[in-house]
Amino acid sequence: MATNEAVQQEVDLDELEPILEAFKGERWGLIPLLQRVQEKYGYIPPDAIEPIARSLRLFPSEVQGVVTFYSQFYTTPRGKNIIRVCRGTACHVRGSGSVLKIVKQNLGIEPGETTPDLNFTLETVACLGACFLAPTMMVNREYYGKLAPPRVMSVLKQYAPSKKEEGNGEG
Amino acid sequence: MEPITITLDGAEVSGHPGMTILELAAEVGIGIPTLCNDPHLSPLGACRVCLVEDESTGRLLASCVTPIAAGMVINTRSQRVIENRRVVVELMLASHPDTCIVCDKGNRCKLRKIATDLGIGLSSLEKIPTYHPVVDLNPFIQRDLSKCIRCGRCIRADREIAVVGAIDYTDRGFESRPATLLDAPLERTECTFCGICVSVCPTGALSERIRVSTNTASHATRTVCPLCGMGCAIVLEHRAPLILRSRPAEDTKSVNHISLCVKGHYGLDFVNSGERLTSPLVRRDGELVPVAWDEALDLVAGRLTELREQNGARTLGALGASRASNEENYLLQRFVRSTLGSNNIDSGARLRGAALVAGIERVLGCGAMSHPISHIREAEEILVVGADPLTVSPILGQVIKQAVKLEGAHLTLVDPLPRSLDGGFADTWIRPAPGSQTAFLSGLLNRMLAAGPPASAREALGGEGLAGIRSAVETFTPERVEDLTGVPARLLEETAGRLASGRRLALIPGAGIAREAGASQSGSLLAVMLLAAGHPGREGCGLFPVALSLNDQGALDMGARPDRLPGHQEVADPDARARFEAAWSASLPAEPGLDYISMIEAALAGSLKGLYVVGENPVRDCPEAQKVREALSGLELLVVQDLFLTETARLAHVVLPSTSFAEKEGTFTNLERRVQRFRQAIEPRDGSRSDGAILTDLMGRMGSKVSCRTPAEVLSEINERVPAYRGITLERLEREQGGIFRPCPDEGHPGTPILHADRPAPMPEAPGLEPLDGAVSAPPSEFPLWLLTTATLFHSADGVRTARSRVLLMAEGEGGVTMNPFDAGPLGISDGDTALVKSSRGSLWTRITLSERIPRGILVATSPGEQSPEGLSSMDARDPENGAPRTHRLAVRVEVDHGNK
Repeated sequence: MATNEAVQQEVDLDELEPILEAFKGERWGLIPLLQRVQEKYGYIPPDAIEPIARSLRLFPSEVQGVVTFYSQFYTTPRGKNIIRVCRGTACHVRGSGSVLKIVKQNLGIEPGETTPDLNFTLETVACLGACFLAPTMMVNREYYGKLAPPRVMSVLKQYAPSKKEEGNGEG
Repeated sequence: MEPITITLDGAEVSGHPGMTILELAAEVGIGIPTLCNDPHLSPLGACRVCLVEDESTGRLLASCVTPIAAGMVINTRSQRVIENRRVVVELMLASHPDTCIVCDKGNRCKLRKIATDLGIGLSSLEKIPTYHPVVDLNPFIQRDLSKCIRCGRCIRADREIAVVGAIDYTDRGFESRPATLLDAPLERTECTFCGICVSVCPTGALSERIRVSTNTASHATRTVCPLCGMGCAIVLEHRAPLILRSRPAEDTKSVNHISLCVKGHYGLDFVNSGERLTSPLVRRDGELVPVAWDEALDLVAGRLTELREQNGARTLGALGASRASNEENYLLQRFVRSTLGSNNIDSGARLRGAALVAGIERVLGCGAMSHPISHIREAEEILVVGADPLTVSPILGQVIKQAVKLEGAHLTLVDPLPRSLDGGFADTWIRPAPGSQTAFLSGLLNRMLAAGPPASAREALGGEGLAGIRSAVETFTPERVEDLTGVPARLLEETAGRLASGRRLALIPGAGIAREAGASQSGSLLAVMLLAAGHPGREGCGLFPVALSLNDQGALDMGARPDRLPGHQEVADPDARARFEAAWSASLPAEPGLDYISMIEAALAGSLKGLYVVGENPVRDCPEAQKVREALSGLELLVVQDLFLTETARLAHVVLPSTSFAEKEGTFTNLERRVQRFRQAIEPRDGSRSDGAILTDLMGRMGSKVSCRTPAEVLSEINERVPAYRGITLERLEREQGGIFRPCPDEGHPGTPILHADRPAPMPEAPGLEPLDGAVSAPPSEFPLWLLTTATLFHSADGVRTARSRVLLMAEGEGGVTMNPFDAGPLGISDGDTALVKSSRGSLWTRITLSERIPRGILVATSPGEQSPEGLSSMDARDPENGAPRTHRLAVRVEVDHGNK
């Protein structure tokens, strides 16, 4: 659980209550509950683990075990926009290394990190299943293929915070 | 169910459905190596070392998680199996450091053993380094995750046995590892340092952090832990003259199986302490000076004889011996009764829980636990009253947690204070006002009887008995109990309903009522509740008092008390007396003697002249420490036998160095009534002698003819003289290592794990409940706060020994007093201040901690130091029937010296 100090923030655990209430004492409900928590906060705040465990009568360490097992659960705040750069073989051959480099330089973060303004989270994935478009990346649910450096820049600009934010904001 | 037959290494064998291949193989004596499997834990199938081949399908199976199925043809050692097993182990070694030569696990490492057995040397595979060691500051557990093989034993033991949940797997794949929440160091987690993870770890990933020496001991001895009343079976590893390590005996017949608590695991190094006494000491010109044994013993024998002749036998008495064996208790009381001619003998059991035990005995005929504690796991309703089992008897506490967390039992906690069981475990936490628990229990019984007790209860109590009990508690209506205790009437009704529901019920009272006003009454109420719920003798039920500790039960059974001869035979009964008189060729006094506190008072008044103390420490354990000092200082003769120069020994005229449990033989009786043999592991510390040897020598010097000298000989005299111990012979105890439950009336008898199994309770006519007024007075205005005394995890009732454990001392702070900021504010006290806590009987300087968890108006005190909060209580507050002091709750005020701030 690498923590990204720059983006640690206070969370309001009161908002947890209704979610906990919905699954109270139901051990089976851990994963759907965690999904709901993540929907609410964008990630699983570490401080939420103990209340979650208490509510389901699980050990906090067990809850943490589940949170850290699944790559879909996050323990640090996530950006508004999730960039996934494909590092699969086909994309690699077509230059995804430079794509990643440009994104990193532009946003000033490493894969797995989030920009301090919480606008972007950068991730790499093994394959996006769109090899015919290589090199590719995804921003939220949108695919961007046949990328070249200028195109990467324009995609990033499209999601920059100054732009008017529309429906594709949530990841 | 039909047995299943399979072919195992060429032979046809049968097992029951659900059995794994590994279990069946073990049963027929075929050893399959495994790293992650432990028969005490749920199977996981993580390590893959236990691979076997099913020749009928050609599949390789993990035998620890594969149930047997008809038609299987299993080969446990085919070429293919061996090859695959070697690969598995080689891969483990590829990410394991080659540091065996300096690893503390040494010859006990299972990975190393399996690698050796498979002929695997240094791996030629490329090394994949894993984690760096985690830095833990606690003195108990060292984690080196580079040696972790991800077998999950520590995690399963933590969850399934200790039920703490401090660790679980975190992350995934290569990153996965056992970790605490947020990777906090163990000392900042729920971990209680029971050390079970260390015991089960097959490699050097978990080991004792502070150790006497690294690597494996040359000798190991199975014995019994002496530090509380649980009597855990342990193996002491030793290399003369030191105890190196203690670990659970892993015996399913023992009380603790693969578990121990922090004290039993880490605290037995007191045996090695440099503070041990190594020579008798005699007071000359005010100083204790070393003398030879003969000189010391002659002096004691001479002075005792003189005092008896001058003032009469009744001016002599003895305290002991909860810290000693059954045999030594037997000898001590024989010494006092037959050699000195006095019944003035009592043990620390009086201070800890004698009143509660007496109350239970009045109803059920026996005050000890009615069932083995393993039955708590089967209980459906558990009521814990004024007890902190996780602290005072952690093994029993673990069983409660197992019942709640793993079996779904409903736990009701009755206690004004937050205790270790409340956090997430108790389903209901009822908080009666301090001192009002007896009233609350009366209310519960009132409602249980109103609900109409089952026929079995009517039979057990008798019509007259039932009527008597009804009238004793009839004024305790829910409304009145609410007034007295502050517990809402609805909650009382609800709880009574649960207890009377017919679900299996375990009642667990502790020091919080045993050392309170009304302790014997509370004991009787609980005993009647067990009957009223219709449960005597039923499996998964029972009454489990956890107030006594050490070998208190043995001391009571052996007659180390003023009113009873060995085997609870009344001193006043001429027939009983006659039997012992014949055996000991002496005439015995018929009048019951003085109890613990009465002896101190008599010493103060000058009517007790000589006191012989075996392993007790009244200066620390008794109320009114200052008065006790005065009383003991005024004696004509004070003799103390102990391992250490205790606060009491410092006042003695003669101090005799005794040996520890690890240096002698004997038996202990635990709180379950389980009699077990403990064995000598190392030679006695130079200059020390066992309590028993000292006593027999002294008896000889005073002219008593003692034919039994060795512990074995004393045990056979006990077999002869104590009916409940008749069948508990040395030979049987050697054979039946898990111990024998008394009563065991003859050699062929299996012992009695469950009391009252085949008969109703023995006292249908005389339930012995008097009406009580139930009113709880508020503390006086001069001392407006209630101070409640509690135990700490790192010290047993025997602070003397645990305070000499190097490892435990590193963990334990100085103790102190915790209070609510609401009470502290007006007094100008802040967190961490040192303040004077004053009662009408004394005062002590202590550190104050503030906590919102402590109710207003209450202080909670723990003290492992020399001065105990019990010392502030009053000698006058005693149980009217058996003289046990009420040391749980005292009225105090707190003063802070602002000049020093």
